[in-house]
Amino acid sequence: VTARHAIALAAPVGRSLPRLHLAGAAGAALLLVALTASEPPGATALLGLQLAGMTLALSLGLVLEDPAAPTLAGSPVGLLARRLLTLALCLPFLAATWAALLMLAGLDGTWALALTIQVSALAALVLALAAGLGPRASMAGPAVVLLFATARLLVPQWTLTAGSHDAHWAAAEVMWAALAAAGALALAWLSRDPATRPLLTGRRSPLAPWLRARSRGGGGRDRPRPG
Amino acid sequence: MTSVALADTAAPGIRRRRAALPPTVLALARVEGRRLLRHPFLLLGVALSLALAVAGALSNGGVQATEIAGMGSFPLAAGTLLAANAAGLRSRRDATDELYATLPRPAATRTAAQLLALAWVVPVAVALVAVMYVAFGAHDGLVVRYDGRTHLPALAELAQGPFVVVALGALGVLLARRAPSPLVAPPVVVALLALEIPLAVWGSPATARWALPFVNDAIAAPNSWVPCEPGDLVAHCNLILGFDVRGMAIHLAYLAGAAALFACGALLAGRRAVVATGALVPLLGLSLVAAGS
Repeated sequence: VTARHAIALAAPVGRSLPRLHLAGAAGAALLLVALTASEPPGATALLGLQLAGMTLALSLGLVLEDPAAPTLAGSPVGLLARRLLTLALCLPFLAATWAALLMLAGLDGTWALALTIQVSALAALVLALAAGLGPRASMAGPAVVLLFATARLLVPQWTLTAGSHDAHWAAAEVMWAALAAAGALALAWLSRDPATRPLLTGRRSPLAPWLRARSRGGGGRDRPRPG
Repeated sequence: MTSVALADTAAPGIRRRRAALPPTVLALARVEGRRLLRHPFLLLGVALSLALAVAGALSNGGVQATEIAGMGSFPLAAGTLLAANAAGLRSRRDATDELYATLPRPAATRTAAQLLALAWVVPVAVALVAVMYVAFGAHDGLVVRYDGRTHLPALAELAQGPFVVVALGALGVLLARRAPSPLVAPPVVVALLALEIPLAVWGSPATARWALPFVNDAIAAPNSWVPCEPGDLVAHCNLILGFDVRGMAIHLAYLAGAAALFACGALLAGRRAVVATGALVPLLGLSLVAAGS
């Protein structure tokens, strides 16, 4: 894929983005931070900022949902390139919103860095899960919200709530950075073009007979989808 | 000619759809209930609630009292909200609304079934509380103070979790009916968390906490950090003076009223919805005032 392809595809991909949902998430995040902000920033302000970041990450779940994916699978532009273009179009908007939230909350550098790492990890996890779920990508955001909400109740010290004086602070920062990296790697792995996945579809794959049977309509019955 | 005549006589019948009949609703509710129990969000909620229960079993009595009195059911309730919302949005997501419009039963039948399906989650919520009760050894009383004072959870406290699960499930169905978008319910969970952590988890004495689904009924001395249990050295628990069980009992009535309000909002439309809301909202306000006083 060349720059010429990317430029040509930018407008149609931009039109297919869930712009209203992204704008709604940004508005909700700004409202949450505005309602909880205090001077100096207290525990409630930090919680508000954390959950605002969660709201932004949540909106990314719908970005990878592509009803036209089966049609586009045969196009010369691969899945990874299409997803990179999609993210290149929407991530700057969310990053700018997050920067505005940090300025509005008035946090110092240590907190801003830690929460930015955490929000990046949450976004990467939502995107990786959405990529893995395929047509059910919209379930990724709520699933990560549930996981984060429980973590916030279960192990608050590991969700960056106490401050740099806490014994778990440095380890928690490393953990969130590792989660961000793992999410990004999983997203890249799950965005490989389906035509170049020999492990699953190649003739030597142990799953190949089952996949061929399914493609002929003889492999298992249609199960109702969850929901 | 005969067929035309039949069609003419049938047309008014189609316009005046019969009200939802219990057998139809029950049959649909059985299907919806089974699907709700197998929904990934609900299963995730159960798993996360069990994780909270395990962590609670390893924690102090104050935390255990908070969890068994509701907060331990938070993931299950949030999962139920999301799953019920997804069930309400299913026809829209799968583009079958037009197909359903050709059926003799109105959309309210399916909504009623989705609301009734929440009854399938109640045994799960009750079982979760029972697991916590056994795991925490609550039958002997939970040690809630460093001087060894214990608290035996009251029935009203134990019932809060299942009540909230039903109320939030009804909210999920209401949101699916009145704001049919997959991006509405998840921010509601985030907003709930933003309110529950300062007002319930941190043990705020503010009266506004009674308006939330999960309420922490522990009465704590302000700004008092004490060791949690006998033998502890580090002070990181509130000094608990008692538990507002009466307030919690009134809160259950509030939750039941809220669930009824959400169900009416999902089922009814027009004048009947206004009448139901007008009757239920003052009752909810009264229960809030009574619980806070």
